[in-house]
Amino acid sequence: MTMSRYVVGTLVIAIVGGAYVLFVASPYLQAVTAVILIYTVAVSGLNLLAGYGGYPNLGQATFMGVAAYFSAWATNNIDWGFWPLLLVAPLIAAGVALVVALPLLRLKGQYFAIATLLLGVVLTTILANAKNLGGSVGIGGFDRPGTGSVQWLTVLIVITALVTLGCARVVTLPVGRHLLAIRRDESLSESIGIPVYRRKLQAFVLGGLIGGVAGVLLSYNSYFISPDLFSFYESFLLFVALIVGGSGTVSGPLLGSAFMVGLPELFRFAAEGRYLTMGLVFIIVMAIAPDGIAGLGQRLAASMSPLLPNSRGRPEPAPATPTPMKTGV
Amino acid sequence: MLEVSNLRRSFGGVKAVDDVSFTVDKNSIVGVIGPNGAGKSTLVSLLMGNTKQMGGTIRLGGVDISKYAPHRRVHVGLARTFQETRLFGDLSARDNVLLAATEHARGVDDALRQTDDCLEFVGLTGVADTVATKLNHLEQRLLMLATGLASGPRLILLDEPAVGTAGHELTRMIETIERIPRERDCSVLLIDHNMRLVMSVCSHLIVLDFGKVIASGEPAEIRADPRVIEAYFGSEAVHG
Amino acid sequence: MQLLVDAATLGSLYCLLAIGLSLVYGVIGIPHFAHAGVIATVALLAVFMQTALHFPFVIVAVLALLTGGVLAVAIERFAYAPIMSRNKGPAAGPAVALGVLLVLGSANLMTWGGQRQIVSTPYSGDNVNVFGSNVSGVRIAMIAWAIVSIVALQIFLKRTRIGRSIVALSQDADAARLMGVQVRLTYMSAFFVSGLLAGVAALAYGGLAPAYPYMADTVILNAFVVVIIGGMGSIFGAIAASLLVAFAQVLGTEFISSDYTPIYAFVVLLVVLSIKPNGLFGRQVRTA
Repeated sequence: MTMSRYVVGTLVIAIVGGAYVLFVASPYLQAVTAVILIYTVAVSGLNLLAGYGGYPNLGQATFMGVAAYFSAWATNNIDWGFWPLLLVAPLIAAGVALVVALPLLRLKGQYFAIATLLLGVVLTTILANAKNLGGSVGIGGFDRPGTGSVQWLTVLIVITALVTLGCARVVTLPVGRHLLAIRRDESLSESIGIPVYRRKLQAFVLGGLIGGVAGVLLSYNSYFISPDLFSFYESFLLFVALIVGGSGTVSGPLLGSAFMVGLPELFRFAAEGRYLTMGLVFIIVMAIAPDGIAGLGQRLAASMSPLLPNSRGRPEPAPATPTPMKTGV
Repeated sequence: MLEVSNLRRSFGGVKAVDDVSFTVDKNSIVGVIGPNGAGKSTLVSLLMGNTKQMGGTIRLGGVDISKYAPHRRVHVGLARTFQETRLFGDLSARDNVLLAATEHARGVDDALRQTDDCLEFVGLTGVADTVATKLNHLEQRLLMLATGLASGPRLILLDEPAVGTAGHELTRMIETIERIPRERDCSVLLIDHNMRLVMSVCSHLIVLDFGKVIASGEPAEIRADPRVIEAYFGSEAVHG
Repeated sequence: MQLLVDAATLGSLYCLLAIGLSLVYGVIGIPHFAHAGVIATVALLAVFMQTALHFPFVIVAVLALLTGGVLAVAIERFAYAPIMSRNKGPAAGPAVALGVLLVLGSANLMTWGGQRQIVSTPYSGDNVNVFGSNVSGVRIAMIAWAIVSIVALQIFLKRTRIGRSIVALSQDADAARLMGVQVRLTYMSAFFVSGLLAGVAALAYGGLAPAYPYMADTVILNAFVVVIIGGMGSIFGAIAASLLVAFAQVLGTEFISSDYTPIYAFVVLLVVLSIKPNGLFGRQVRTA
């Protein structure tokens, strides 16, 4: 798919879907859609390093938390509104990502995953002890821009569409094909001249930036935030959404988020049972359909050829197939 | 082309590479041999920049690349192949080489041309569209070679390229490697155990043992050198 | 003195967990977060056996270990094996491990509820006098369990055929296969042993802190820090790293603040990685 096709696709979904949600859907569905959109933004950020790059980043919720709590502090102490925070808070989150990336990216894939989980623990601990930010109880003070839920929802739709297109654009650049190569085999990629460390850093920081955007959106959507919204557990759920939707694809984040947010709603009757079900579904998905929903769709569409996402302008990844060879960690 | 001076690297007290110095002349094929544990893998790691040296310098074409990051070394003309078969398994042979060529080419056409050149050089043009995992062992090893050459390097480091080949497959690998300096304008640093390969293609040999260079010279001299024979306990060096 | 005991106890727990995690990581290269779930399941089962079925401790202990082993093997068969056969990138393993943890946690919550109960042991009420301080039996037991397990594991890995297969597979999978190591069987054995270790941890830890579905979730992360900085193949690394992390945590809690207890381990991780990027002893932590 070329960039122009992504643009068209996104616009169509945004306009048609948006029109339905804004004018026809019930307030309940609108609320659920809002959460799905916010999740989509967060997962899109995660998609860069974890999806395309194949690097297990299990700390995306942490960056959401950094931006969310920065916003909380800013609204309550220096009276900033939504728009300035939407610009600045993600930058703060990206800054944290940059600082954290320096030691963490030197770890092998599996250990990197563990370290990113620990990040979540660190953040939740610090936040739970931050009395002037509400401690473990939480903090509020957010005032949505505009009047009414239709306007807010429109804001969400527009931002989600922009983020999705932004990520699609990034993927069509050299960094995109580099990430895909890194996912396949890191050592081999380095030996052909791909700046592996730099790419991982860029993907990580950009992912953190986008996660920050999601964090701001979440704060203003729920009016109230607390540390456990950004725990390592939430990071894991974001990761599940990515895998189920289809890692390394443009539509994956939206599909996965719809699944992750929608499924518990369907199973609302059994409170603990739904997590059990989600966990089981995840394990099964990993075993039989590692490309997620988007991958299944691609395979059904059948016209797959091993793709080279660069000069030929086709930025999609080829699904990972079995190989007896050593592939890099 | 390549000048290594006083290279040193230890791991927790063990001197893996101990004051190693040697040169590789332009468009020549130099071999590095030595028993297991002699420090060959560490040497490769140091040359490519994956491990930082604790002393000494590495110069490529006169320029000191000792502090360059691995990918930068590739961009200034160093390339390598791996001991284990490493390829982008789900891509075709052509796409494997193309991926590498794109990093260094000026534009799409240049990249495609380089790719076809490299595939032709190793004789894989016929299977260019086959998925890498479906190639046979020799083809996969040759594909690794083609991928390494796709960046147009000035020196390519071949890490046991002939692993798993014998008989006529080995012959093909040998004659392909022999053509590298002439046809690709590229020097070769060959690291291998296979005596037949090393003796036939290398104009110069360096022998490592316990991280030190214990002998260096022409293949015929090295073959008869008692220190080398001792290092190998008389097995491979004598019987090849 | 009390601090020393606390650190030794905590260090023993971390070491016990670390060796179980390393065992699994060595053979399949996946961080086995689900280990925490196995521990919780066994601990809760032990409580049930004691309170509802009134089994004597020895029976409970044996059943606990066996359950741990069987559960671990089941996890390997149903969750890890399917993703091993295909290359899904380095993200697959940790994700599935967490998935299993999630499933076990929810299942335990649904089965046993959220109440916390201690595993009672024959020595729960005892106190021992060590250098003038009173140390509770359960703490001594933790240290004892850990030492016994470490020694037993070492003997197993060095002296038995299966044990040596596990070591061979961890060090060089291809060479091991060529030498005729039966991969399937070795994986299952490694997991079974890790399950036994989880059982031991359940009894030891469950005697110290109450058993509930998420009891091991935070300590498992710290155990992973131990694995990272201690290096994988080295038992001395594991012991040294366990003590280091335990001390950091205990001292930090005592002298800095108890509010920040969970992050002292992370700080140790950062510090060690900055100074010695390859961990204290191992060389397998960094990217190639």
